[in-house]
Amino acid sequence: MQRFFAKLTVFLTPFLVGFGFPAFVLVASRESLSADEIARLHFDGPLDALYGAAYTNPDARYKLVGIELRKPDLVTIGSSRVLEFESGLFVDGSRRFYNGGLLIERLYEIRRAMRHFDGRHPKYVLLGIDQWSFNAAWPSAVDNPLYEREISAGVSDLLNAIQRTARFAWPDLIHGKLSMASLIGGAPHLGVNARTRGNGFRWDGSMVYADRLRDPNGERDFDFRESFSRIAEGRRRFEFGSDVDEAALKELELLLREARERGLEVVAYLPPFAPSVERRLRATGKHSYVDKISPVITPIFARHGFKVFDFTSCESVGCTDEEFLDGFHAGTKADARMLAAMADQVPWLDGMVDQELLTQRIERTPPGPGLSP
Amino acid sequence: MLFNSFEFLVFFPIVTALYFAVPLRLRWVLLLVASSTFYMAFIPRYILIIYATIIVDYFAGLVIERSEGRRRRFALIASLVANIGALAVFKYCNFFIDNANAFGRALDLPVTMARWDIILPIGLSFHTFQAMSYTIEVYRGNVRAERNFAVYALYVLFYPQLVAGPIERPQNIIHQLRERHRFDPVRATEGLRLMLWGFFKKVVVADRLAHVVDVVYANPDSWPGPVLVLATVAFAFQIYADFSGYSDIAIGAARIMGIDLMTNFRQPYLARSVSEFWSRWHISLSSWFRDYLYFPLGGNRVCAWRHRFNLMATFVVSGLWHGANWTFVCWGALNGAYLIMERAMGAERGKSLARLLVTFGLISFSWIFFRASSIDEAFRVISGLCRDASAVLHPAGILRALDRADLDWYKLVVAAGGVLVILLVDQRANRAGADIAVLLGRLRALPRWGLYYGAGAAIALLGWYGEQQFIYFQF
Repeated sequence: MQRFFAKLTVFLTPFLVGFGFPAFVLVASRESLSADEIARLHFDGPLDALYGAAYTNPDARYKLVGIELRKPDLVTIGSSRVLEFESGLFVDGSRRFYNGGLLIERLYEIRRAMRHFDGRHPKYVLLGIDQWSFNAAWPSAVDNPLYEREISAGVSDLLNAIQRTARFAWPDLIHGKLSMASLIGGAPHLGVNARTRGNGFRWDGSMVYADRLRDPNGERDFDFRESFSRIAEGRRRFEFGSDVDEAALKELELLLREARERGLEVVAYLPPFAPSVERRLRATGKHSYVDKISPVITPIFARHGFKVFDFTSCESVGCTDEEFLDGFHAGTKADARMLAAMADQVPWLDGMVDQELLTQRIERTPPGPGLSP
Repeated sequence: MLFNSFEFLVFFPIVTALYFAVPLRLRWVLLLVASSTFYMAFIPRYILIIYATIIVDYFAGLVIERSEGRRRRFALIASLVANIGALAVFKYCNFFIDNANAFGRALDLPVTMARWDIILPIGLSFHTFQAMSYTIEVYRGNVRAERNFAVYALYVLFYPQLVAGPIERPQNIIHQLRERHRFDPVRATEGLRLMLWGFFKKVVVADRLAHVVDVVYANPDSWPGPVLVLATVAFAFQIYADFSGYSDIAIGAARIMGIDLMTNFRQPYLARSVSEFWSRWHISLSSWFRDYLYFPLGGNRVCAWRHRFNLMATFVVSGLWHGANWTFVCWGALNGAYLIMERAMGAERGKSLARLLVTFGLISFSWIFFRASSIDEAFRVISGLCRDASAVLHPAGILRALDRADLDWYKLVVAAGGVLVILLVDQRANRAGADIAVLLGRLRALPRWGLYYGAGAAIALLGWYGEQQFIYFQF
């Protein structure tokens, strides 16, 4: 019998060592918890606590539960490009606003996500639709049953999380990216990214990119080189395309009809690129679908009584390259500019924004992506 | 509690250690508590349903043994009604309501019945069938009624095979629950090997393939024929890896505790005919239907037409056992038709590779009905199988399309590699007439340990965890 247990120990030891440390990292940072538990902890926790995961990705479910718990009147929905809208931009924003950025990534997911709303909250949706959603080479109107599973399942998925973490936690530890002190320390943040780097979702669902703000030159897309490279090579959401995807337009029609049936008020926008990136995008001539989006989707929105704004180029509202976190993620200041422009034309949004205060804040903020209080 | 969950990783070693640590007279208590806990991890209150049928069957067994004539028959019928009644209420009630409503609509009747908002108790079909085999065997005089209520309860509740089989017979299992099992390193090693293999099949192969199948079957109209064929073949291996993986884990876990469960799969995709396939696939259920339905109907000892009827009836009922949906009825009927035609053509025997491929093709085709959520969806898949067949000449295009649907080459390679490993092991096991635990035992230490670590690393690094239940849990 001793021989059996000796052999079993020999077999299990490498696995226990290899996966024990990642399991510790997840448990210590609380990244091991399910999206529902994290959303609840964040909701009940201090206002300055962040939630930023490094090795797990329950964002969609976390945001859905965030909406259920906070019951906001207005949510932003979109990819990571809408994440810099924060509650401070809105009147009584801490109560009425929640940023649902990353609740969805693709167009077809919006309808699926909306079906989980309770019918009373939210009433208003600020919808950011990425330009590549309308590129047939990056089909976003294809249904993926995994999304429904992702936002419906609130169960802890510890084995999956440990497995994913094992691939990255050891290299991160060796390269000094993982600080044991910050993992065990007393910060109220949830998740490895929030604890070790200060990146994560705020209480209102908006995103803090602390390391980018600390050291903009450390960002991979410094000087937009990564964005330029993607544009030139037609990869990673900058795939070449000349026509607007018909399937995406059909999906848009369905989602707006469903939003209307659900009594939601929607205002949508095409999120901005940094001016230099936007100029480069047009200069290639291989992304001509981008110019065709607005003329095609504006009548569709109008048919359902909604408005859509094209901020692909946001120089018209005063944005500069400095106001971007990278080539296609606007900072809060740029978002504030777009918000003011939209509020000018949408009465219900105008009622939620103090335009005068917003203008003052934009004017007194020094160059950069942030916005002064 | 899923076998492929963190909870089971903790539950299993603790229960096994306690099993060997406690005195013999307390072992069945421990196993009964552990099995009840295992079941209650799903929906706790449903344990009451199992215990209700256990009580009925326990007393029915005693009455059957002690009585004669009508009283004896009445006790058997009471037991069967209790078990089939539980199935009828929890599994088939909404199926009946849906069909009655559809019938009413067809006749323009103004009455509709509301569906019953209920979740099917997990593994209901398995433990009710196991319970029925007990009272039937007592009635037939093949086994004595169990006096100890707890031992009988454990026969139904024994956690490794509680929710997805193998569906055991009382002759095989009850006496083992009473025997004194000492810890045996040889049996424990074999059990762990089986569990390792079962986990590999489940988390590395089945759940990776599930990803492919789910994405394609969610929108069958948007994929070219070759992708639908690929997804259908993938499902054939998914369901095999999923269910046989579960069986291996169950048999391995029981073997460590000294209890032998029956073999449930014997390399079914190496069958050269449909009838051979059914002698290798889900053996515990096939033999249940053979012994308790097909033979009582007369089996093959009747005229040709009656024999065909018996075959078809057995497979249609087997289809219905799998699920309350016309898709399962079609699946069963299709397999019944295969067998009838095969016997009419005298094509049950033969060794060629072509037979193997034809058999696999027929079985895979029938799985379309098993996988589809409706008859309409099944026919959408079938009608699309030949669509854009030329796409097969442009595999890069297919791979790009799959990649956009979140199926990157990594997931496909892992799934395909896993299928190849399963086929290779099945081929070896088939030739040797032994399971993988025995095959591994025959290897020298170095390759054997290499395979242990290889399987362990694949499970740890390439497995998919947490979200995928075992397919047969829904039955």
